[in-house]
Amino acid sequence: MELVIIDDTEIPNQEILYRRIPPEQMKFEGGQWRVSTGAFTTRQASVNLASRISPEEILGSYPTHSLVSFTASNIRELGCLLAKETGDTDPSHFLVCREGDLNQRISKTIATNLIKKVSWVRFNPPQSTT
Amino acid sequence: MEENHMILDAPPQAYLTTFEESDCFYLSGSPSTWTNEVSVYDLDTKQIQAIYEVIRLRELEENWDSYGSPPLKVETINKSIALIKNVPMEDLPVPHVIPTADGGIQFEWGGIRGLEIEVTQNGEIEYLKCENGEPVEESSIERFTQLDSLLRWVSPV
Repeated sequence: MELVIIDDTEIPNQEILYRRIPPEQMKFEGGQWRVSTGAFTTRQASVNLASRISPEEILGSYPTHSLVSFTASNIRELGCLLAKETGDTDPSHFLVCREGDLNQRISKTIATNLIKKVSWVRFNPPQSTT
Repeated sequence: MEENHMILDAPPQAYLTTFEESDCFYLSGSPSTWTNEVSVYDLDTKQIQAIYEVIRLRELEENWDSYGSPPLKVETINKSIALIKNVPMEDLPVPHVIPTADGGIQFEWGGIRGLEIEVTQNGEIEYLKCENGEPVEESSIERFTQLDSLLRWVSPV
């Protein structure tokens, strides 16, 4: 897989990014539902640009999932960047990667700090509370 | 999923009954185990509850997170169960059991001093300590014997 780095002239810092959250990666803590860092600790985390796709389109096939948003600025301030897989024909789809090594996993520290910035766009509480 | 609600605060025997009736991979009260059997002999209720949550993750199918995540590997599930068996939980809350985007299983304790311990899909054990929501230490351990000092970080019940 070849990745192309996207700079902030193509996607400005204020661009809103969406990511689906499956119910398995949500936890009830401190009286509210929160996103687990487990939703972001991966090598390349897929996101969609809010300016190019609607929440309804993103969640269309995943009715039990929730949707969160954050900004391009949020991930860049944490040492990440946006990249695009060559051959990816979805204009809204990008990957959040670690700056310096695109194949390095997003750390728990980065994920913890990113979660502080996320907002619920669509919230579907899990059916099973554990 | 419904039976999960029924057994949350139930004694260990209720877990055993549930598994015998509903799943081919079940918990056993015996110290010896057969295929697809997890011994919970001598474990406390909190450990059994965490193990139950781990076993439930076997149900996750290909692309369960909608981003192409594979089903969890049996090795990851087995190591996670082994980890929980080594976590004395008398003074701890039951952890959240979360599958990670790249095939690991993560145990999360919240509170003023929070802790995440993950069994990665490669079998490594990584952790993050937080204080008042701020990450303070991220590293890995190589042996279950190192869990004791790690767990002392967590805010007690």
